[in-house]
Amino acid sequence: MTPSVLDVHVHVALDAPKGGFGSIDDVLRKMDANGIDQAVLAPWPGYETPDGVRSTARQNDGLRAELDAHPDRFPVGLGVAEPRHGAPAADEARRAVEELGLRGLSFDSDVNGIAIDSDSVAVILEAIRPVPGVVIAFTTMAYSVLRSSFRLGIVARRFPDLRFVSLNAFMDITHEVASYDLAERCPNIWFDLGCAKTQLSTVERAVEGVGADRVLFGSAIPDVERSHHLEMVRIAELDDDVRSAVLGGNARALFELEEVTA
Amino acid sequence: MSGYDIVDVHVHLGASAALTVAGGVDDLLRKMDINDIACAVLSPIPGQEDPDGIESTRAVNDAIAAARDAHPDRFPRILAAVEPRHGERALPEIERVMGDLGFSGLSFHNDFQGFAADHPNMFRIMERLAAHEGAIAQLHTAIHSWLEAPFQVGKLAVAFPELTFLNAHALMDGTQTSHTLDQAPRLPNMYFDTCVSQKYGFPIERVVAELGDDRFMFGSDIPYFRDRCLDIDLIVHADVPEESKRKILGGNARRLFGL
Repeated sequence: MTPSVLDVHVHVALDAPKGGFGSIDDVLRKMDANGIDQAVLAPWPGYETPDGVRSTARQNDGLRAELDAHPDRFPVGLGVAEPRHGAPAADEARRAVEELGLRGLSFDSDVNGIAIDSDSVAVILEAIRPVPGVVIAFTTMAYSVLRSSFRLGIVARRFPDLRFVSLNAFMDITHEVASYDLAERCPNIWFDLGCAKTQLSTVERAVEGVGADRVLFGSAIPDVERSHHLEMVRIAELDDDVRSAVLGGNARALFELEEVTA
Repeated sequence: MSGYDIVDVHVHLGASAALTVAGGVDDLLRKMDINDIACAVLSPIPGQEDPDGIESTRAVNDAIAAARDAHPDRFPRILAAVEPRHGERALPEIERVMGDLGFSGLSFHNDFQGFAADHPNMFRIMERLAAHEGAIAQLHTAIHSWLEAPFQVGKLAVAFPELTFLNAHALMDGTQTSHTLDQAPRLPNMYFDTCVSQKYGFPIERVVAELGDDRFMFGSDIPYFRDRCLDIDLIVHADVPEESKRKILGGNARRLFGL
């Protein structure tokens, strides 16, 4: 039986023209082409914000609409909130998870312009902290000022009751070692294979370094046409049950979703 | 007193959500006085909150203009904020600030603005700015950044030779100083500030020896330190001709900004 694939790292450009790069049609086409059954959907981080927090609200509303239109493909979504919007960002975050039913938030701090461990982000996390089951995804990078992996560790320790995903957690050898280090000290962080390096047995080392139950497959669609990372997981020297967990089982446990069979 | 006419091309007003730093007008003037800085080019502190998008940016720029109007002798020239993440609708602000408000140009810190210095939206902004004769674009650079690396700003300088670029933090570490030395000969429309320079390896001596003393200007980064600006010491005590010190500390800025 082929394990079903739940991809934790897919973005939709809600402002894109129909069929254009990053549009929902483009995303679905790429998922189909790669055999990706389902995905956790989040807005494209680089959306424009001419109306400030109202621009962000439109993204979250648009995401909700896409989840409702394709419930079989996108069982959950992660909303957005901009730390530079100050206190109103916390209100929007709360609305996104409480009223819109989004499962959590996704941040790309280099696009946000604010570091992962800043007070402005903490205010947002405090706002959604009481909501059961929320998941917070942060894009990380070894050499970034604002989204360095260690900053996620600071936040994860500050919010031990929240669950976090480090997106793109294995981009290079420095990054992967930083992820191993984070995993050891922060049991509330999961790790995404999106944009991972494709040499030096990244998947096998990730399973060993952060634990088989905390490695998540992510494609980074729409930024890829072919998901080399899906192939990387499929050919990795892993037990089949571990492979199945990485391809979807771990994500289903994290997002509290029922198992499906492809 | 330093004995020099010091003109500072790098002073910020406002509160940064990005770095938890803030400076009001009185604080800026106090630090300028402590450091014997005669006058400064004032720009918005990067990373200010913008919950209302372009309206927030307008308010930021209005505050800069108000500070200039209240202290025209201390802040004779001002630079405005425009946010590349605000897209097409950010562009009319350029006409507003460069017109009646009398700004000299724009200031960017792309690490805290989310879009890279060579993002298409930045090219659109520069295209509009270039319509204003004598406009200046100040861009903060950091050699290890992927949003504001000096080469990305260099692409703008090549694309818009009619604009004058002010590369802020051009001597921040040894690698960045070496890059500045490599970049400067190819970009005649780029000037550089000495703000937050490396305090080892003789950066002032290196740039004066290799590039001359016409394109470097003192910048303090007020309010990002408590009292004394050590970048002044770096220039005053550099082993370069006295005339070079005078040009870097103030003469070049007076020439570039028409003071």
